[in-house]
Amino acid sequence: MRDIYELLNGIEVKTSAEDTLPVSEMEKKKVIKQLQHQIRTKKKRSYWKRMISAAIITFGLIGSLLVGLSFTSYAEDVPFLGNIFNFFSHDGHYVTYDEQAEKLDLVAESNGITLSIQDTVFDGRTLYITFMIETEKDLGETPWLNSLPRFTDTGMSGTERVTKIDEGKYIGVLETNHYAGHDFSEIEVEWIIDGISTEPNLEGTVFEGDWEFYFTVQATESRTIAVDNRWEIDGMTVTMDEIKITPMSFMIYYNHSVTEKLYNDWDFIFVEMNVEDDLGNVYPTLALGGYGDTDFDLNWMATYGKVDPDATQLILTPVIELSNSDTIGYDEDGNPIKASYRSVDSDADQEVIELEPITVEVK
Amino acid sequence: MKTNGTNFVRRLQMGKEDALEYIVDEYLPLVKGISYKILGPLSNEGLLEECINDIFLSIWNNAGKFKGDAIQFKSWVAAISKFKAIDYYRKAVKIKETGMDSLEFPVRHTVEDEIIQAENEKELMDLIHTLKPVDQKIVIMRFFLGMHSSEIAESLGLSKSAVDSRIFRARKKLSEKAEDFMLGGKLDERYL
Repeated sequence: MRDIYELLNGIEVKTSAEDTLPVSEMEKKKVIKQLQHQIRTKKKRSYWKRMISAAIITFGLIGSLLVGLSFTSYAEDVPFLGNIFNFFSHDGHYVTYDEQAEKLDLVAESNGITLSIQDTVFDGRTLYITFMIETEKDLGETPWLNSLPRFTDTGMSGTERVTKIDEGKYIGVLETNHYAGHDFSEIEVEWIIDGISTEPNLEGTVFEGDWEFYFTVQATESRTIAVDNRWEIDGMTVTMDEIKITPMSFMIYYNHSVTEKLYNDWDFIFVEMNVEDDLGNVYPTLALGGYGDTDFDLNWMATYGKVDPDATQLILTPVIELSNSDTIGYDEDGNPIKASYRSVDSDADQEVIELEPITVEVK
Repeated sequence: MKTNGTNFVRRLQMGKEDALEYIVDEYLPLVKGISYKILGPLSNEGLLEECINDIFLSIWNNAGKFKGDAIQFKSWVAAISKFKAIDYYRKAVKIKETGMDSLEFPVRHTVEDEIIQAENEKELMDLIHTLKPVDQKIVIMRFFLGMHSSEIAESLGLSKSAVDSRIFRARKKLSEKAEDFMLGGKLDERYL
């Protein structure tokens, strides 16, 4: 998006010693403290967490189902470590990621468990790491690492998928997103794991230890197409921002703002973007996240697979989904007790609104 | 790794909090100086503090849009400070003005006033982008940074009259474009 901060690049503003004013240490501390408070509060307001916790449940179900079904056929396809991405790509994720991957081969060993990072790919927004766990200990079917790699202080969220490929051998893919308002071209990653467990959040059998990784990753090349479009319905505005295309994926950035009334009427407000190209390919949403300064304005980022090289246009259709959470019981006065989630086949209120599609040239 | 004088831009762009501390430490005197120069006459300590805070927050949130080295970064910080402080000044003055008897002293809106009000209008930014690079710079310097023609002329190595005529033409072009773009009610008469 073109804005004033970009335009201010390269504009020479002459400054001299007279332009500065003395500042005390106290003053500096005060400014820093206030800023830290603001950027951290912003993180807390993030919508992503709620999204992701819902997503984890969905991914968890779908993921294990697919992995379970296709386990035998894929296990043979993993004779060496380089194509872990391919292993996890049968549901549309990670196709051709291995071509962009940066080989790392970092190893950390602790408490009889060896953890090695194989490949990383970073698209400016999401970091993908493939890893392998080798041990004589019984970590169950899907061990949990309980830690996200950190590469910024803007707040992060992520998902991991781990699967057993052999006795004492597990492979996994981990995705981590950041909340910064812009993409990064290079990141310094710090991944510290202090416990591997058989159940999420250090539950079940826990193997304590110290596995640490530090590395830098460059973002893959990408190009950005600015898209200006605005849809309005009663109580809500959806605005397109841009599409970012990387060699292995594309991301759509858009945002929505809602009136207080609409916000209060519904428990969940999602805006998804359905994507097709001019050749008829349909691109499923692989990841969707949103964050915002307030609950009324949210910035969304949706990730999709690789754009068909022969496609010249993408057709985007925003779909607004307004829904309520499940009722899990009733209190003494007969008022419904609301859950903080909505299950997949819920019969709670839901309204889906499809907006007018737009066409974007991608060649 | 710690933030220092050679890696702070990169670390800021990576979203590292200690880089934010570094730039406050390094640039607060400059940011405060520039803000004070513009907002000082209003004698409003709270507004000055708010503005300074907003400047650093904008730098943090928009770090990825900066392109250049540490020296250019200083200029970018100075430009943001100036633009923000002018913005705060205009808004504060506007509030004061509306508080007075506005019938007797109607507020006169200049193109510059209206443009700065529209700072977040994406359409306007896109319109500015349709200008030639040098005219883009002139428009930004004049309308957002409140620089005089002579200052702009010196900075760009042009004559003052050349700058004046370019401002005139750019302004005309922007209002024509705004009509072309059919930005009904958003940018046309209200802004240009």
